Amino acid sequence: MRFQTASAVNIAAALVMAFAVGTALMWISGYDPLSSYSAMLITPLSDWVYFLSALAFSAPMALTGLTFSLGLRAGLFNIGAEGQVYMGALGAVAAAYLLGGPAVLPLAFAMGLILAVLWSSVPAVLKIWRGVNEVISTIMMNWVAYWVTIMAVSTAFANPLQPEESVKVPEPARLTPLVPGTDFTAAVPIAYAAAFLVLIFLKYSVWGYRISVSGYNPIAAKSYGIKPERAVLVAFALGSVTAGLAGVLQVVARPPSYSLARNLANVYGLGFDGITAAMLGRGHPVGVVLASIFLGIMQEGARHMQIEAGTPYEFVKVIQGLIILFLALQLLRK
Amino acid sequence: MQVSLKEIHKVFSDGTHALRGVSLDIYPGEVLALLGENGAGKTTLMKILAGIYKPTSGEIYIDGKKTKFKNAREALRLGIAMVHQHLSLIPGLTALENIAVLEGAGLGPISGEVRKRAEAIAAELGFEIDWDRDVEELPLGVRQRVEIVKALYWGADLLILDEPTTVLSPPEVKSLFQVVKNLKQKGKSIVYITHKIPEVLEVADRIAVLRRGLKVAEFKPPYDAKKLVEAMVGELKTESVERSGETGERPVLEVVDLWVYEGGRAVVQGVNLVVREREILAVVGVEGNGQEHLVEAVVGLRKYKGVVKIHGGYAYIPDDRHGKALVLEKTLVENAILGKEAEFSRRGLISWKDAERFTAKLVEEFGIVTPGPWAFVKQLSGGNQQKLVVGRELSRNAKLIVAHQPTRGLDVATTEYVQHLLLKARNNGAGVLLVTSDLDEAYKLADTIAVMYRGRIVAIGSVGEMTLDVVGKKMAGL
Repeated sequence: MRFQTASAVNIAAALVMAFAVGTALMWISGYDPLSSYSAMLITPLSDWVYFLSALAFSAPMALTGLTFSLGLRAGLFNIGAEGQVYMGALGAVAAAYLLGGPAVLPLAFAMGLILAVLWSSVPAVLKIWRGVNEVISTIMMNWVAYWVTIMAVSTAFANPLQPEESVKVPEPARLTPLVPGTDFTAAVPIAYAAAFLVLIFLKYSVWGYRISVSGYNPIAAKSYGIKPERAVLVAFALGSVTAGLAGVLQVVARPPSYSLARNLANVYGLGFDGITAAMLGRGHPVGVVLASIFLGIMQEGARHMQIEAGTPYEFVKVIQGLIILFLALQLLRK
Repeated sequence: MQVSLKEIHKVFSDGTHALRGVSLDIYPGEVLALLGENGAGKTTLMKILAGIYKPTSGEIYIDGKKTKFKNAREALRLGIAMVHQHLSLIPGLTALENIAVLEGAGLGPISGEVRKRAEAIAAELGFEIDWDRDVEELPLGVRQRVEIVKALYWGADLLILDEPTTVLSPPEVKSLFQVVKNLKQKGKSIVYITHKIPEVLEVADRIAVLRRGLKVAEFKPPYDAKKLVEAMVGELKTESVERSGETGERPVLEVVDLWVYEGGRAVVQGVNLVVREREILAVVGVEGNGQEHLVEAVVGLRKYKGVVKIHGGYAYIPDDRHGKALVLEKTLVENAILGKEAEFSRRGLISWKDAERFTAKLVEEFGIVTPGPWAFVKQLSGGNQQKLVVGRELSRNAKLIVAHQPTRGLDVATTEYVQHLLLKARNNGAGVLLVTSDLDEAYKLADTIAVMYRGRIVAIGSVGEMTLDVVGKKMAGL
């Protein structure tokens, strides 16, 4: 099965249609579309603090977008980023529980990434050994991760002082805002650097080449000594590293809580936002970053929309959903 | 119904010239067999008659009246129906629903009339069909019968059967022949597309042979199987091509007691082969006798039992360059390094500069016509794509070259060129396993010829010993 990436025309059309339908929905619901859109898209650009917050929102989406993009290159529809984000976050929380002081930071990265990679190895191995469709196995792994993480955060790693969240990362181990008064932490440059590394990997590395040949034509790959199974494995593994990274960063580098909410509110949905970023960014690392910034602006704008125009926050999610829907419609039609 | 096709040409959008001016008459109440190798243009020609493809040029006359079809439904309305090789019933619908589906949209239930008529047609042909089962649950042989009933239900006078036996078991094949005879007695015309000679001997009133998009011969009974083979694969022109050096002693490929299974069936049955240095071993045979499985086992694409030993690496020129040799969505450079990407990389990173230089060399050396090394492979013509594949493979300097139908679909000049390259590689010391169904090519290139029939090597010998007479007979299973 091949998944086509959207063309620039597809993307433009999807955006136009999504905003048009969004306009109609707002109007029917009794909100002012013009001031809503202005608050959603213009206000975040009007002030440095807002814009840096938008970038902070973009970081985890860029990382999970890379996960999905790497999958696409190998001909996979890997939607397991969601669960791998939970696992990354869980690893970071476990590190905070086990240790104190600055040592928590490296341990958080190590444990989070290892957990995420292990999590992705299940669908990868199932795919290679038994040909199990990765869509199904990653969805199931997402749910297992969801409940496992909730259980861990509610029991072993619960914060006795604040029952709504897990133990906190100790202060010396936190990646605090680089610009005071904003949410802009090291997470943002780390995410963009990851995108740059993935770009180099895909463009110049032998394995990047092999992944993409296997993705386009696994039989040709096999005919000339490339093992498509290994390409699948590499794509899954690398993808889980970026997704896991997103999860770790949401815990160690996201003010104000530096912990994991018991209902997973600060990681929930990031994996799926990544799919949106990857589709809008045409599966290209630079495109993914740009798309994630766009989505970050919308997310930051959602707050302003609620305040300035009185339009509910959820409309942003509605419009993002519509974008995906219209993209999918065009791709299915082909 | 009398149908005449006049000077039909078909050029596909990728530049393949599938039909080069074919004229054909089909008379009422006859079984016309359309014989030819894969890629000869048989199915394309009939898809044009059935309204599925539009001819690039040429005319269709039905009962003397010039006709143009907009689509398959229009052809069906005039009485022309095609039963496809890979059947085209809609899964998820019952057999009866598949017949009624051409009625068009409607909310009511299928009328009892449809069932009655369908059952009557089936009864006349002696079919037993469970009309209320999902077609997906029906055996392939029964599905084919449903398609035949569907065609007759909608008033077909001319029935095109495209490779109808590929999906059938031997007893089903027998009863299919009976069905063909029954249909003929009812005055229907039948076009029977196949590449299997025993079948045409059984059913055909007349045989038209296509080769490389041309009608090369027509036959009436009594048939001579050898002549049919010759027409299919090309007559023998013994041209001497520069060949230098005796075949060496050292083997580059050893195959011992090779068995390959597919769906529980042994499709390669105990093949033994040796290819030596400076030897071209041509494995010939009518397609579908296990050659493809043999090749895929040798290059490791397929599981097998037995021994395959390759000395000194191999190069592989597959039969299907789009499916197996190239990534069409990628550039020439990216395709040129396929299989040797490690050679162009240092510390895990590919040097695209070196790769580009290498590609430019291939383009120059093998005369590949391209807008540039960074053009996409799908932009190239079929011949240039094949030159890229052959150039890449020969540049591996492997001791063994596995070439599977290396000139299929190529124009005359490119064919000659590719053959010349293979011969040159042989003269330089390589061994070539050439699997081809083109006898011309086999005789031109081979030092040794082996004939494959039903999964076995039924004859092998030097070109001198293997006369066309012997080869033709062995290929036809005689």
